[in-house]
Amino acid sequence: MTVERGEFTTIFGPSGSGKTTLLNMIGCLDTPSEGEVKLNGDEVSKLSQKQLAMVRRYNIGFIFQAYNLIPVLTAYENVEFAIRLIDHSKESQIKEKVLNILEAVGLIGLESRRPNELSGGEKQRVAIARALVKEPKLILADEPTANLDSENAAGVIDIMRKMNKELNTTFIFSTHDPMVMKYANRYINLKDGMISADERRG
Amino acid sequence: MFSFKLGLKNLTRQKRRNILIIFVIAFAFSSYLLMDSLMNGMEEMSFDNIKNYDTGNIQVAYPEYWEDRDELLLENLIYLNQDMEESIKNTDGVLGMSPELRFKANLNNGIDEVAVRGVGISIEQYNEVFATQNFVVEGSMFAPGESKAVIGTSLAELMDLKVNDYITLLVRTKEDTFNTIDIEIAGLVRAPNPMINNGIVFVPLDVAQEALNVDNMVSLFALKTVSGEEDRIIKRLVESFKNKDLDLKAYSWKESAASVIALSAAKKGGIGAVLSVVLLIGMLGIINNVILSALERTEEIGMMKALGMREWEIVFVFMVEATGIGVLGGLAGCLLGYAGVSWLAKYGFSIAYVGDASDFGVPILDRIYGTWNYPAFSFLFILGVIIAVLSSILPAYWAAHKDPVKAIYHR
Ligand SMILES: Nc1ncnc2c1ncn2[C@@H]1O[C@H](COP(=O)(O)OP(=O)(O)OP(=O)(O)O)[C@@H](O)[C@H]1O
Ligand SMILES: [Mg+2]
Repeated sequence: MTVERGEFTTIFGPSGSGKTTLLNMIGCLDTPSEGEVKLNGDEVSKLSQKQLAMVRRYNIGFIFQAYNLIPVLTAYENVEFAIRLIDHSKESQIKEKVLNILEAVGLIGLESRRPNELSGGEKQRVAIARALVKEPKLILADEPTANLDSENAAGVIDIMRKMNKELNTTFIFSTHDPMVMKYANRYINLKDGMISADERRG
Repeated sequence: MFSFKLGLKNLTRQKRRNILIIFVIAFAFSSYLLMDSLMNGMEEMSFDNIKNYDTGNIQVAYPEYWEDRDELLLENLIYLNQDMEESIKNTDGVLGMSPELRFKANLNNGIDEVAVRGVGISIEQYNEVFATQNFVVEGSMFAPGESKAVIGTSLAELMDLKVNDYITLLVRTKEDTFNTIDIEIAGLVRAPNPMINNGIVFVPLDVAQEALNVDNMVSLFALKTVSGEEDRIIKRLVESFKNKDLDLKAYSWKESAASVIALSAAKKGGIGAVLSVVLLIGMLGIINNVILSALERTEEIGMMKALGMREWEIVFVFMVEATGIGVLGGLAGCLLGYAGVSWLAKYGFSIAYVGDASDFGVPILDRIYGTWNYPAFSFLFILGVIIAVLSSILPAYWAAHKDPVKAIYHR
């Protein structure tokens, strides 16, 4: 399969169908035992550990089901963490970027809260901001809404969709929630590790 | 910089565990500092007690006498003459000289008899060299020209003697005939050096010379000198003896401190062993801490890898945290040590708990006072931090080396 730039792709499938495995291989965290993954036309399996880390650092943002925020850092700092890895500009510029992205995901006013002072939806929005702040070409989200109620899930998907449109960021996210997949403009269905359906919608 | 901040912030996680390990490190460090302080204190006091109450800084005697000096024989004595005394006294760095005639005697109180060491002294000169007079607890030192004796409190207790009591010293003259010294006790001393208190009887030099039939002779001169300059002064003395064709030699107090010096060599070994244990405790604590933290933060480490962090960058975060623990533990240890050493320096440590220290050849009466060894504080602190950094590296690499997929999904 090929994912085009700016696509908002859902990977749908039951538990154990291989969604996480597929995302991890695209995200250079895992390597396929058969077949190949190409990013920007580069064959991923030919890259060294260091190069893979650099691909992830500069080009890919991850969003996890369990948020994976650092509990001792505030919402602001969790986002700052990601941008500091690639951007060594001045404090004020970093601050502007971080606050902008926090505003975009609707977290202004909550930036100095720690993860344990945020709701699940808010935490996931911090995680989205963390993935988006470095403006990567590709964002991979593994069941980002699985721990959220439908209202929060819709909010999170809305934000992802908005960012996708505004920044033309490519999104690939997995879900097994049929409600969520209606937002996608491309829909891939997995069954037992195989793609059983692949549709584009307008 | 951000990693540094993160490392420090991570210190606030698992507060109880971190405080525990900081406390353990602090306890180990301060124990070391206290022990170091006491050991050095013991050594310093022992040396002082030898110098100030027994040998002076330097002793001058004939080598033949010196070799058998513990025998207290009346052979190879020094015949006093003004010229020689002047030349010793005028040697640069010599602050006082006390001629002494040492002899074997039996002290008799009319009922019992006990072997003692008699010391004939010229009281004014003796007082210039030794501080014994400050520790007269009853009566006083005898005055110049006064024919009285001074003994230690322990001896007085043993023989049931008081000031103004008369004692008889049974001695053998140079010619090996028996003689006695009948003399009144002028004062009792309780000096910091137990040896003085247990078995020495001070009498005027002329009284001793007459009773022993050694006309105007002494065993040795005890000299008080500028302290720390002993070796140089000894060189000067030896030089001047050579020029005057005298066979006299000069000996540092250190030669009489062999048992203490042997003990202080053992001390260095002991302190080294304690230091190793202390550092090992710190090391194990840090390693344990990093491993536990890494296990708790598996998903976080996976996330960091997903963010594109390199292994060494993740290691750095753990190292900062471990270093923080090392610094805090070291600081707390130094503070605890500071408090403990202050206490030891002020109030001392009663060696009554370990028994009579003079049994081990330590000439200290009842309390060891701690000394300040500031370099030990900074040395320990720096070493502690270095150990913390080094011992965190391996477990941190182990943590950072995890497969990101396994780490994130806990597989
Ligand atoms: N294409 C494939 N070929 C072989 N094994 C696969 C393939 N895809 C997935 N697997 C294996 O299937 C198992 C489950 O895969 P995975 O965790 O990716 O599923 P998932 O869809 O994310 O499930 P869940 O909804 O429970 O998260 C894994 O052990 C994985 O190695
Ligand atoms: Mg999954």
